[in-house]
Amino acid sequence: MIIDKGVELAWEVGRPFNLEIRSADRIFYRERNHPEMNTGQRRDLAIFYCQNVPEGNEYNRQNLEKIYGKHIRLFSIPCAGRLEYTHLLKALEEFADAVYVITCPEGACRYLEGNKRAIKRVLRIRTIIEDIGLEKERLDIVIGSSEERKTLTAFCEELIERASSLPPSPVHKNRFHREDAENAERR
Amino acid sequence: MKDISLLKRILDKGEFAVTAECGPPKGADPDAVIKKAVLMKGKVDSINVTDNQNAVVHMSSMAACILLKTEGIDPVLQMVVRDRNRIALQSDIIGASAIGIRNILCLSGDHQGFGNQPQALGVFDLDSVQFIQAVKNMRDKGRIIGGDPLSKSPELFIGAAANPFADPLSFRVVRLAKKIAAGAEFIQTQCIYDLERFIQWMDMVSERGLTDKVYILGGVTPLKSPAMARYMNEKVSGVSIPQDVIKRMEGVFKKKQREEGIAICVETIQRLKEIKGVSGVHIMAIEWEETVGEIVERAGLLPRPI
Amino acid sequence: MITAEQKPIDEIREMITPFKRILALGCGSCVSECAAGGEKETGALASALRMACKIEGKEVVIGEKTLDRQCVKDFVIELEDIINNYDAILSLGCGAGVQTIADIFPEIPVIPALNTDFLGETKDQGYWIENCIGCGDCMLFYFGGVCPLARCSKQLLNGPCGGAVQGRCEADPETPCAWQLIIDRLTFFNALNRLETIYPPKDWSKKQGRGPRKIIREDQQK
Repeated sequence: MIIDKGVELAWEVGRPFNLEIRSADRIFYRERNHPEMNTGQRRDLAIFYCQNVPEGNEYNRQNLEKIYGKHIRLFSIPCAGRLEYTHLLKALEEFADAVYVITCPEGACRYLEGNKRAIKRVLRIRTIIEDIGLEKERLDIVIGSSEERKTLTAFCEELIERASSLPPSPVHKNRFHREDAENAERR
Repeated sequence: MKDISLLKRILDKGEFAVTAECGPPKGADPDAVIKKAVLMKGKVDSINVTDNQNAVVHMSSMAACILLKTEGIDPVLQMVVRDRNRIALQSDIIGASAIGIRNILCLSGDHQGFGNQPQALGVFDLDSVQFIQAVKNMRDKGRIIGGDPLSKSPELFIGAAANPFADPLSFRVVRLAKKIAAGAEFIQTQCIYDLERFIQWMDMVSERGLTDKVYILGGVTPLKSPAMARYMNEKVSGVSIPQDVIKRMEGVFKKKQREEGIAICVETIQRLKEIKGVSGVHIMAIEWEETVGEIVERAGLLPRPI
Repeated sequence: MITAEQKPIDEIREMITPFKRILALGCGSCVSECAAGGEKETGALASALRMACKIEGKEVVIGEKTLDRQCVKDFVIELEDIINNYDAILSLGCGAGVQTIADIFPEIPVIPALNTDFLGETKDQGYWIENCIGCGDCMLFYFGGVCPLARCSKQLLNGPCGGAVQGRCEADPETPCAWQLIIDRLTFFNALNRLETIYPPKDWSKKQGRGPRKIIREDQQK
């Protein structure tokens, strides 16, 4: 039973998330599960980052996704100001317990105002998610520091840690993982 | 006895006219109006009744005017275009005349957002200039807007407001000229504290030949305190109080502030008497009506001519 | 263009409560321009509502589609094929769009997700301002291209009033006094004498018709 095309996701930025929508409230997604990962307390994050973040290159991104498995999806964007509301909301809807947006430090945006715009947009979506019953901490802006030059890797570590204090998102109560899906199909 | 406009009679005679203002109560209490009337009776020629001033609901101006008439006072009905469409306005005009009101002041009105009914629709079907013209045509031609004849024309002395201190300065005289061309016969100005600026405005007005066409009554308001002076200067649109006046109010002990406010008012009136083209004074002492008598007396304007 | 803003999400949730299969329908015209009901906003709202329903444990399907315009029958008819999949339409169009859909598909409830505001211009990014009230009898020529009905708080045709302070309206200090703008503009064109005319009362019957106003053009009909 396929629901109409209206619910397909089309990500303008990063690479598309591969989703097959089988029913309105169950989402199966392809995930890479690193065998050494202890998935006990970890939450699933979406991290959108300005491609200017130190070590924000494609190689590193793929590497980090391998390391963290299903717990982090990384999306590189030319500028944080290019973020659309749909990116943030759909990430929260589809899989994320928390969404973080990494912007360039104040004054360092190569498009001048992009980081400021990203902040305004995130603030707006925060009030919306609060209205629907999600903690606003599930969406946050992380502003890069001009002195520290924190790398993408360092951000990932910090954010995984930060998100662990949040309970799992109530949106994904019925979340299934691949093994369960495969088991279900076998039955 | 036939109703006449006492204000018009005095102005036509060339006497220096004195008018004052009465704010109706925010309730159905006729005594509140009568009390104020009694305080000012005999000290002024006519008394204006405000129309839902500041867009705050008050007893209607027309009703309060009727109460003033029972005390033998010649009222000036103030009517704003904010609350009534042309049907209601014209209807009220003929009604006012029928019950013996002989003076009308045609105004735009403060925006409804200021008052205690900010969700109300502001009507503004006519503007104040069109309203003046409508009243004039009803009186002189016996016709309403659109041309239908009236069975009996209203008898009204038509007035308008003018603000010598508002922006844009350059255009104020043109606007006054339009009001006069539309039919305004007397003007009451916003309260005056800055006499130099007022004189400048009077010069422009007479330069355009308007002082021959209209009676100008300069507005005055006695200050109660320096806080009132500062507030009015900053917050009330169209009022500008020069620093030296504010300093005068600040420079006296609290007990003497009211006294000083009245003194400033009296001095202003005395100066107005000397300005060519000024035919009278309009004292706006809202909620301080008891001072009107004293002010008029000290300004040497008593007794009032009958 | 027509401007609108999204209703608070609580209000929308309350209205969609009885329904299980909802189509969030965006519009690609005016409401896209004012970032209220275009494709992106429709996607964002649908996503937020789906999450809200999941959190509540409600099983609801919320589809998304955006039409070029919701106020033209020819575009709305496109919904014919999919409309039976839904039991309500959540329209992110302006009031005109909501009603067009309701007229063409009277058997399906149409819920407005937006509050329609005014006819106006995009003055700057993220800044829309009213400048026309649709009076049906445009006098912009006489006022140098500044409409005293739309932009003067008291709709004066023979303005200004006595309340402006430093060129700002007494009713809203953020708003420039329209009459100041008119005077400046006509002064620039050496046409200030136009304002010596007493403009007569406005014919409001062109704005407030007997029932909804209409335009019929036989030369445009089939």
